[in-house]
Amino acid sequence: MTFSDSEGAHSTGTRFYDGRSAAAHAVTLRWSDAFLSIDGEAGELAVWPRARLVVGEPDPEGRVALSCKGEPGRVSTDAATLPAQIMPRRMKRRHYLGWLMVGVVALVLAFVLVVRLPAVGAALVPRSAENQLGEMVEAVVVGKHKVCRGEEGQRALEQLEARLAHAAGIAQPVHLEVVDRKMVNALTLPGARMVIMRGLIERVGNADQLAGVMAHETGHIARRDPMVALFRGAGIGVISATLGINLGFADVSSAAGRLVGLSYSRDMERLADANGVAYLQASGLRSDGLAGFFALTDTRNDTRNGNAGAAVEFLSDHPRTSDRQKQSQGSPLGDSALTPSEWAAVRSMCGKP
Amino acid sequence: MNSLDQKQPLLTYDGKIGELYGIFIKNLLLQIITLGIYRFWATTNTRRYIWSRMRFQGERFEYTGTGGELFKGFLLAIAIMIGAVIGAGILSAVLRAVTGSALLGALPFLALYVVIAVIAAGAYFSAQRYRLSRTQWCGIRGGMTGSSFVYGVYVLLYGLLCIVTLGQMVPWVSMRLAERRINASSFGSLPFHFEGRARALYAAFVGTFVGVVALLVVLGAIFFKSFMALLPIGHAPLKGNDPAALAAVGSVFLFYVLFIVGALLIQCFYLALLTRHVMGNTTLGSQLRFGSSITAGRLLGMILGNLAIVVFTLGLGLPIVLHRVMRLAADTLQVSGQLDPQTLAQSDQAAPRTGEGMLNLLDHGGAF
Repeated sequence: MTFSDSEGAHSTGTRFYDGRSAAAHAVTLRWSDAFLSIDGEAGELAVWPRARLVVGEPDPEGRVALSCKGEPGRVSTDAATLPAQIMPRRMKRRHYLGWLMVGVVALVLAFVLVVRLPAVGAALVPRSAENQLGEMVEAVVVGKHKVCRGEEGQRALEQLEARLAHAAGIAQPVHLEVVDRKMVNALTLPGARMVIMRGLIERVGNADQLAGVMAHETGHIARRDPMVALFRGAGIGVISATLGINLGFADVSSAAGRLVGLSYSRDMERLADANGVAYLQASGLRSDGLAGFFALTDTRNDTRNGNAGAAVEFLSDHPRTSDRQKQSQGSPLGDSALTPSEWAAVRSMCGKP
Repeated sequence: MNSLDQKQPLLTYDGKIGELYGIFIKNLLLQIITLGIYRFWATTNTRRYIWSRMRFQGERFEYTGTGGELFKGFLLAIAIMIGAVIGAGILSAVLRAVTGSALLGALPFLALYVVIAVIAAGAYFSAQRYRLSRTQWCGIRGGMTGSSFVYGVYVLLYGLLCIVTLGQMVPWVSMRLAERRINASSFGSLPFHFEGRARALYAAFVGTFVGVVALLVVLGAIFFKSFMALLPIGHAPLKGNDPAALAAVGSVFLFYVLFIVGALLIQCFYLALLTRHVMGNTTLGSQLRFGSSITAGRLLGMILGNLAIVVFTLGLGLPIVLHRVMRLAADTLQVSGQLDPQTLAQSDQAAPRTGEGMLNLLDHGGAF
């Protein structure tokens, strides 16, 4: 047998290799419902159950290799002669379709976990559990810092917040605390809790700007954004854990610890801005405070004097300030949020001028 | 037999770059989506294609490995590695507590490092065992005897020998290691056999060695000024816009490029001779005698071309590189004699159940 002869002889017909030697046997394939019988010249050479049949990819001549899991040997035959239902191409297409489906389902699941489910989950959490969680988080936020208890100032802020909460339709009394921290920030915590940092009170130009920030936070409370963000964080956590990535939550393992680092989405922030302005107007107050505060921080950022850029935590994960300033202009009509004496009392709450 | 002297191409390869790109792009996308975990299946897809496009005596090869096997091997290797580190840690703590000696406490970790080095060196051997066992031709697969651990020990010992002799034992060592790998391998019932003679390589090796050293000296003399210019900059902060400093950095970069390319050019003669020697002295059973017609020029052309393709396409030209390698292999690998399918029986070597674990873990698994 010469080289070219063997090539010619082997490129057509169906051949069976028994797996014991490399010798080729000319065979015919007989298909029944459950079995593939491989018939040689001297009778049946092998019977393979179709359930365990493996069909390879066609080579450039259109031939495929058939094998059977757990059995020695293989069949080389023309792909066109195979029964339609075991054609590799159809199997392949179904295969790809299956993976495409898995991909789509995974994307939908991810979308639901991150976008839709958080609001539903947040609504299902009972108030008592939310309040407990809020207390825990507050303990973490306050930490070693002092809670400022200037009685007059506290009363003034609570009265202001009560007006805003009434306008926002929040049934639960809002628990408000001023904490002696340098950060220019205010936080909303689960269970209708608001924490205002001393740094914010010192930074704002007047009481109306503080009222603007408080109205914005009240917007978060009304929509239970802290809980939604918590669920969203958990959803992202589930997805990233499935994908095998650790986004660096290892150091803050407790839910309370994680909440401190929460950020709201841009949509949540815009809505809180808009709602804040609406609450101020509904309570008959000037509603240009938030925009005024943005303008203040924006110009300070631009001129880069002092530590302005670094210290304004309130804006750190928020949409671009100048955009927000435009969108939440508000109106200068209406009462001032606090009387001068109330404002003075608020500013001296932490015992510093 | 007359036919033993007549050389013909060992393999024909009829793969297409376009089809390789189809596999490459699908692999790339799935690897990105799965953060790299798909690479075991990607390797398998590529191998399945390459194997199926190689023919010997008109019959195509078939790759029967699966991505799952590679993945399991990888997981197993990780588990063993973690277990070994923990075990060494416990043993070390116990030893230190019992004897109070820091030296004895460090002993388990020293032993662990040696064991890891041996396993890493032996990983090539076990990877070759896996690939052979998953390569089928006419329903017959390859196999390999022997222990990859023993091979790893030899690699390390021979490596020490090379260091002690300042590299002068390299040809002898490469002959002995090639013998270990090839003589342990078989295809079906037929064993591969190789007996190398380092003496045949020594003239070329010494020439290459002297050439590389001379290149280093000449380039060093030419670029001496640039190195000197960079030395004081090493202490003072390098100024990005100082033209003198930039010129010095540029010429040092040029030095490295020239040295690497030049050394490659000089080495090509030796590497081509080594390939011809190893292939030319390898047989399969008594029926096949292999050979190679590779020349320094073709080897150099391929290596330089591949380097350029990978660098200028940022890795996206890998299928082209693969195609070039396969084409060169098909062009230069030769065989004399005929393999009679009637007498080629199945391999009696047990096939490994998982594949290439340590090689994947220690990451010198190539593209395919």
